Order: sequence, then structure tokens, then C-alpha cells
Amino acid sequence: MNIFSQELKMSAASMIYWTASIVLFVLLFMFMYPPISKDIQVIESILSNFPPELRRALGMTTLDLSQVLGFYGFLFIYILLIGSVYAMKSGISVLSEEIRSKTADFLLVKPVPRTRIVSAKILSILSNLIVQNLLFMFISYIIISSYVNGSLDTRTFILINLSLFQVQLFFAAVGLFLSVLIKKIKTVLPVSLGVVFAFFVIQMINQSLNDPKLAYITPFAYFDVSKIIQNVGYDTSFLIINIIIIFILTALTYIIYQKKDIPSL
Amino acid sequence: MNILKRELNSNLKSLMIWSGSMIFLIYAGMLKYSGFAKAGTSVNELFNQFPPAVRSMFGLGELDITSILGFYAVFYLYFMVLAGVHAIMLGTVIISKEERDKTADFLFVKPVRRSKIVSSKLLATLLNIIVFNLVTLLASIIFVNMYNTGQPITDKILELMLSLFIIQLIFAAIGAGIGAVINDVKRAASISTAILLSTFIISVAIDLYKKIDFLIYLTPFKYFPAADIIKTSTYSPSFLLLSFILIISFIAITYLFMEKRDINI
Repeated sequence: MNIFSQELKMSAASMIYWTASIVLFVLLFMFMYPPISKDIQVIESILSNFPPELRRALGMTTLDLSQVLGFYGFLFIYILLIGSVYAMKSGISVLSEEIRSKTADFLLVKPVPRTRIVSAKILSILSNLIVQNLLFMFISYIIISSYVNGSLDTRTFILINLSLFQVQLFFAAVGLFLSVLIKKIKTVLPVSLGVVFAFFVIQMINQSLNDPKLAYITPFAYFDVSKIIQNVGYDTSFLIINIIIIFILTALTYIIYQKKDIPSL
Repeated sequence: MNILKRELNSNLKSLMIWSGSMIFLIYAGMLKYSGFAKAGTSVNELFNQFPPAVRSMFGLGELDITSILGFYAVFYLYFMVLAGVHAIMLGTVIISKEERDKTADFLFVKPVRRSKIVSSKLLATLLNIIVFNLVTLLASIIFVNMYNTGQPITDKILELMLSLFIIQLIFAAIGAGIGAVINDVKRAASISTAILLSTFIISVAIDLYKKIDFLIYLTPFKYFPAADIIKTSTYSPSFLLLSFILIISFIAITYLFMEKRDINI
């Protein structure tokens, strides 16, 4: 419990900054929505005549940018990007920070099994992510609904937003795993940015080529917003794959950390 | 000389990982192209019917995505983002890491002027960037030629790669400047991350909404658009000048602030 509350205290500020930056992002882009939606209505009418393969190649998929949720869906890939960098950063730093700030021998000599330490730290990430997602979903709901004429499709909106949480869990798990696998991580952010952007670029390529095999590599493809809007639901196989990957990586984190050599001062 | 060697050594592993990823990415992309090109001819005709406004929205401009050059140019957009991550993080960390590693008191008591230490570190950054670009260039030339059935495009790749190099120099200089001004490597890396993400997001916003294109000066990703380079084979002189000014001023900031920096031990 002490470890958990200590972790929360240390990470609260950073969580608030990152949440604020995602909110700011949505706010700024929604300012552009009214003028863009007018332009796009014209383009949409042209585009709708093109075959779906072509629209996919253009990265347009079936998102209707003149609709609020379609536009929000288009923005969401970038929200995922920012949110994932945060999740990955949290995942990498939470265990490895002890080594960097030379507090590992202070913590690990306490009469607490290592599994408990890992659990407390994972729990702290989890609570941060949950708070972040709730905050973000609440604020963005207010922002988005102010742009909707009539009522917002709440179910679709929640489904889109919940995909952020799931992709974040993926990257947090990858981060945790890397942090116990690599002997010493000196700076967290370069690694997080590199990995997240690599997956992001794979998704951009996947989007323009629409290769079903490529989609399995990158979590950004697991929750395709245009499909969520269309089906008002997730693709079950990707949902399961994501959970399995998260589960395996987390299990490996426990196993490796149990026997990891921790450098002392 | 020793400092330079030391820096090159400590960045070798990360450089190898980055280079490896770039090679893999280019290979995978060109492999995809071979499949894409076969299905491409009908798509191509449709593309040409696009109104110019739509084309520019996808960042295509005059590009023909089904030609290998157009396809490569789409890739190039993603290289830029990855290259930006690499450069800004390299610059930030190389300047500010001594205090984190508790090696500052070791390094700065040596009979070497601070300006010389900074020079060695900047030189190491430059060499890293050169290698990164050379690897990307060679991989591009080799894999593009492997799948290119039409006109050779090596000269165009060279031109694109040169602008990639300039963009990396800008980001590395910004990173170094931040590393010098901000005393704490963790905060410096956060600020660099914020800058990189913002410049990327701004470039997306400009693609989406042309009326805010005065923001173009804020994002190096937009200084040398691939479509223009391919079409005209020249770089915009005003943006070249702007890049030059940015690089010089951030390097000046780096020297100035390092000279007076309070070293935390």
C-alpha cells in the first residue's frame, strides 16, 4: 500500500500534464471542425463515388469527416499516439526508476516480496490510466457534444474512447516488459517515443495499403475507429489478441523481475 | 578527441537499433510496393481525376502514389517523423546526461574547456545523424532499385534525403539547446517530446485545414514538402535560410548556456 501511494504521488503531476495535452489537442482541432466540415461536405460527395479500396488507400477509410464523430475518429489516431507515449513512458519508468534514482537497494531490502512490488507499481499505472481516461472522456464528451446538432451517439463515443485505454494497456505492458528485459535504461522518453512512433508508422503504412497481415503487428490497427463507428462494436479477434499480448507481457514482467539482478550503489 | 570517442561509443547501440529499424521499414515498404504496383493501374486513373484540393489534403500534391517515386514520397513523410524523434532525443540527451549519470564532476573537472566539451558532443551528434542518413539513403537506393521497373529515381531519393538531413540537424540543434537550458535531463526530455509532438500535430493540422498554413514556420516537417522537391528539384530558399538560422541560434544557445551552467553534483 505504501509503495502504491508513493508511486501515485510521484506520477500524479505527469498524468495531469499528459491528460491536459490530449484535451488541448481535441479542443484545438475541434475549433477547426466547423469550417472543415463545410469544405469536406463537398469533397465527401465526390469521394463517395470512389471505390472503397481507393478510399482506404487514401487513409480515408469510411470515416465521414463532415460528421462530428467521423472527425473525432480521424483525430483519435493522434490521441492514441499521445496517450500511448504516456502509457509506454509510465510502463518503462515505473520499475526502472528505482535503479536510475539509486533507490533500488532501499526498496528491495524491505520485507516485501518482489511480486508485491511489481503489483503495487502496475496498480499505480492502472489507476493513473483509468483516471486519465475518465477525465479525458468526460471533458471530450462536453467538447464534442457542443458541436453536435441533436444528440451524440453516446455508445459509439464511449466505444471509441475505450479503445484509448486498451491501446494504452498494450503499450504500458510493452514498457514494463522492456524495462525488466533491458539491463539499464538510461532515459525513458527516447525509448518510448521510438517504439510508439515505430508502431504508429506501421499503422500509417497499414492504413494506406490495408494489408490484413500488417494489422496484427500494430495495436493502433486493433481498434479501427471507422469500423467501430460502422459496427458500433470492436473486432473480437483483435480485442482478444490485445488482451493475450498484455497478459503475456505482464506475466513475463513478473517472472523476469523476480530474478533480475539489480545493481546496488 | 577522447570525449568524441566516448560519445560515439555510448551512442553506438542506439544508432544500430535505429539504423536497423529504418532498413527494415524501407524493405517492408518496398516489398509492399511490388504488390501495390500490380493492382495500381486502375487506381491511378482514378487518382488523376481528383480535384487538386483533395490531393493536397492527402499531402499528395502532384504525386502519383502508384509510381514508385510517389510511393516512396509517402514513406518519406514517415521517415521524417522517425528521423525527428531520433535527432531531437539524441541532441537533448547527449548534452544533459552527465548530471544524470553522475559523471558531470568527473568530466567537468578535466582540463578541457566547456566549449570544447560541447563541440565534441555536437560533433558526435552530427556523425550519428550522418550515419543514420547514409544508412537510410543506401537502404532506399538498394530496395527501391530492387522493385523499380520504370525510370531510375536515385537522384530524387538523394534530394529527399538531403532535406531529411537538414530537418534532423534542426531537431538535433533544438534538442541540444533544450538540453543546455534545462538542467534536468528528465525535464529536458519531456520538453523535447512536447516540441516534437506539437510540430508533428501542427503539420497534421495544416494538412487538414489549409487556412492555418501560416503556422508552417513552426513545424520543420513542412519546410521541404516532398511533392515540391520531386517536382522542382529545389528547396525553398526562404526555408533553407530559416533552417540555417534555427540551427545556428540553437547551437549558439547550447554553447552560451553550457558555459554558465551550474553543474549539480
